[in-house]
Amino acid sequence: MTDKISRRDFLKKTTIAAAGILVPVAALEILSPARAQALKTDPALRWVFLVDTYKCVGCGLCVKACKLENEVPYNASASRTWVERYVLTKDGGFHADSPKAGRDGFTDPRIDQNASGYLSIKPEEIDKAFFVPKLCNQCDKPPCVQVCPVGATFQSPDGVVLVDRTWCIGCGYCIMACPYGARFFHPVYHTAEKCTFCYHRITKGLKPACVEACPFGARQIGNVKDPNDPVTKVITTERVGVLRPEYGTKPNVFYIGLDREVR
Amino acid sequence: MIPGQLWTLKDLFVLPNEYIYWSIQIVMYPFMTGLVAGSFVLSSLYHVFGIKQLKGIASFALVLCFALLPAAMLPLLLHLQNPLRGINVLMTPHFTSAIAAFGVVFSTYFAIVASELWFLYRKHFVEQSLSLKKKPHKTLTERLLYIIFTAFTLGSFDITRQARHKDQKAIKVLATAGIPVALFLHGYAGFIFGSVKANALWMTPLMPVIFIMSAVVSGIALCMLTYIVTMEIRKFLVFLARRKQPQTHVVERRDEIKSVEISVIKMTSRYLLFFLVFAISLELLDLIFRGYTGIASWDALSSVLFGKDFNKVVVLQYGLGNLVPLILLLIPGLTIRRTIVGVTLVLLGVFMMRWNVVIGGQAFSLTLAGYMDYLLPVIPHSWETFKEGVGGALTVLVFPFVLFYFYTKIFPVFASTESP
Amino acid sequence: MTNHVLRPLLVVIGVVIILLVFRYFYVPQDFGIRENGFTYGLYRAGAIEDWKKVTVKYQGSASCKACHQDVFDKMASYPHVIIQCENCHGPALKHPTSPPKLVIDTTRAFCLRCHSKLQYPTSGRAAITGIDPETHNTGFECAKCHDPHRPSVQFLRFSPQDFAKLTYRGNDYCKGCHPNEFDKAGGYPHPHATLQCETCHGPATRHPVNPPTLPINTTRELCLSCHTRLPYSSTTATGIKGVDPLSHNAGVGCVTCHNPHHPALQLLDWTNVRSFGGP
Repeated sequence: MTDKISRRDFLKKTTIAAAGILVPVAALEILSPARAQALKTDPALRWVFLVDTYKCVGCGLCVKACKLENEVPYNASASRTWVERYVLTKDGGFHADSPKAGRDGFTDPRIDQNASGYLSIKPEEIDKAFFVPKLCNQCDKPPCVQVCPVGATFQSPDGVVLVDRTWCIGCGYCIMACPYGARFFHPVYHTAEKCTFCYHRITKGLKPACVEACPFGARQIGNVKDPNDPVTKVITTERVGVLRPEYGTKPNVFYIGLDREVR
Repeated sequence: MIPGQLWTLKDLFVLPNEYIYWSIQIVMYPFMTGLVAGSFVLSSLYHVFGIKQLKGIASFALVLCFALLPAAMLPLLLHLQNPLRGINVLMTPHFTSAIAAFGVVFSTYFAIVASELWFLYRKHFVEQSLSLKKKPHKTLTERLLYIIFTAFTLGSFDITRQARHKDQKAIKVLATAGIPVALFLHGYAGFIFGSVKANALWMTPLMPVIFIMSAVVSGIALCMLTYIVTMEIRKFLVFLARRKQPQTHVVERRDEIKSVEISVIKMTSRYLLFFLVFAISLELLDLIFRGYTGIASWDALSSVLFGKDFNKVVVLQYGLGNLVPLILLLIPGLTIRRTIVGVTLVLLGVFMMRWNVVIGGQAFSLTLAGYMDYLLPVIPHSWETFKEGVGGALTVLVFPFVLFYFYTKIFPVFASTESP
Repeated sequence: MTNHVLRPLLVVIGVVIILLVFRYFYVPQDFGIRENGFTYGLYRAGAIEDWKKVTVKYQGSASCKACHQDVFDKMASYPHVIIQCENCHGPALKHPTSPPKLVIDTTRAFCLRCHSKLQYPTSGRAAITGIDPETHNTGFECAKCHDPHRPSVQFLRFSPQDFAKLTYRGNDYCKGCHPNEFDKAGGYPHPHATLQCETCHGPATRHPVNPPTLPINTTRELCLSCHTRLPYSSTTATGIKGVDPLSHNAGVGCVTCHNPHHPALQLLDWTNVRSFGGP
């Protein structure tokens, strides 16, 4: 007798439990595949970036311009964009640095090895040496957006990955997830921060601050959906490389002269 | 100052934006949720599988689990750059992120443990409420306790045999349902790390399983340790009572306590060993595969694991934290003293594993040509150096035991007063 | 009598309902799944507008042309035409309304960004004319001599001779702060009293403002440039005491034993002399 009652109780309990769970679940928007398809637009605009490492001389004017344009504190030890120097020596040696993210350029021939001090390299020992500017790759499949627990970082319809400063909780998961080291915590806003391709400029028909600042034309921005765009023409008809393609992020910053030693 | 800059020492080629962002509190978090999951599994071993010898420790484990739950939230609140926005995880969860699972899983788990405790201690609440109600002049504490106990009855004063029987069934259902949730609570923490393809040390499908296994290990070890400590306290209290009035008959006798204690410990340590072996095998498997396949990150990884962090990884985690307790617990004729040493070392090993995963994973740069040293803040001279330093870690460690002390006033944990 | 078993579930449902009500007020109305789907497109639509509203600081060289065409014309055929005005002059913001005048970065460090010579094969850096910042007119701003708009040598503001006058100040300039070095001590003659301080200490330029300390040339070569004796003699061509560079403590700096300010033989630092197995 008791068993029969408890079985009924159990069924009743389960039904109520199921209903109870459906309430919060229904509160979330569950997309049907049809609706998802309808929402997905194919915009005529998708931003891409082109970096020519042959042209970059390591002057760091891009880093300075970026900090001033985007209100990242000048003395903060992080930057939305940075320049790396690679010096490869005849004995197979690999040396690279990015002192202050390249903010003050590279005026010292010695390699800044942080805690290991400065390393002098004789010019005659150098096989090749070059500069690689880096910034957020505004990936097609950004791992940083995938891991944001609250929907504070997202991909805009034109492909730029942005952070909602009013919603970010500051967990740092996106910073961990970025394979390129593009993200950091803003020291004032205490939210995740990264290069936005100067979204406030490009949406007004201006170029990003770093593109404008570079005297040598090492940085260019374009629209990959426009076949007449000079950047698109280079990407599609000349040999270009991307950083870490093996991660499947589908980055949108393309490099001319990307060496195998670039990290 | 960029958050994280204060305790990061860079060496060689490190990207400008790289710092050790996930510091001691992120080490504490999986450690605490591991203890939560493990203590729940231990409690369920009795309630679900009916392992009679674990009856004494089952309620104890469940109450400790409930004390550990809020303590598990604390490291996250302390770590977040915007802790007041922490509720966003529950409000707009982005389920493609493992951390979003936190809100749902944690709440579900909290509800299950709270419900199970309710069913377990209902009778006590009703009895206490009714007895306190009869008292005409209550002290402040008694008034407070009366309010608490009455509220906790949830309006039901039925403690007849049929009602108690229903309670038992409910406990069994909850304890069963709770096991996968407890495992998920900690497994998702492993997924948080294992799914980060950008980090060469974290990225492995084994990570969730490794975390679960070592969580169960740590939970069982903590329960054993706390159980032994409380048993020793009880024996000491009996000893004191005897000293005062040698002729009076005391409810408990020291040798009775002792025999119950050792049989429970022997039983529990068998389960501890099983999970310990499982955890060690998985971790070693992961290492062997990495070394064998030798992908690009192996040079940097091995120089951290076997070079810079040799003491933390090989000596403390695998040696003292896994191998030595394995031997100690395997040797026949287990004594309480040997158990204390063994389980303490196990807890050390589990803690070091969390440290070596979280901090170790950030010890080498994305460039694989540079390193970062973690300088744990010891003396706090600001809120940041407290919350992300030794002070914050100790607070998180001590908090559950403070809670536990207060809980025992409401949920008595010793066999004589728990519901049958 | 409701089944008491369901009570905890009712509590849970109650909590969920409270949370949902809170959520309705807390989460902004424009928060939701947008164009790029759930994985990449869960966000508050207003965030895009927030980012679009950021103030533009750098206006671009084209906007400078409107008022400063003359500078453009001046620069047109020179290498620095490729540099955006605002790189040196700072972001224009709402200039000339605010700020009315832009602050120019004239520091040495700024020019060295490109012009510190780095001979890097395969990099465009190698093609830029540059100097060694450690030796090229230390302590001076580059713009003192070089016109940033027309950096060619033909437009240098000073000839080398005029520049030398600027850089070398003479002993009277040093005496002002360093009188101790000038007084005679113990009656010994001071042959080096007639020597210019800057022969060994380098040009004072704007010391002590810039550079704060002067490097000292303590090489054997400098001393030997005056003190190399003639063969079979103890004096040099000019009649001052000298040594044979090859036999007199070769490889050792002269200043190890001789105090350059008081070089007389009687004032040798004998402790060091003994270590060389001296007389």
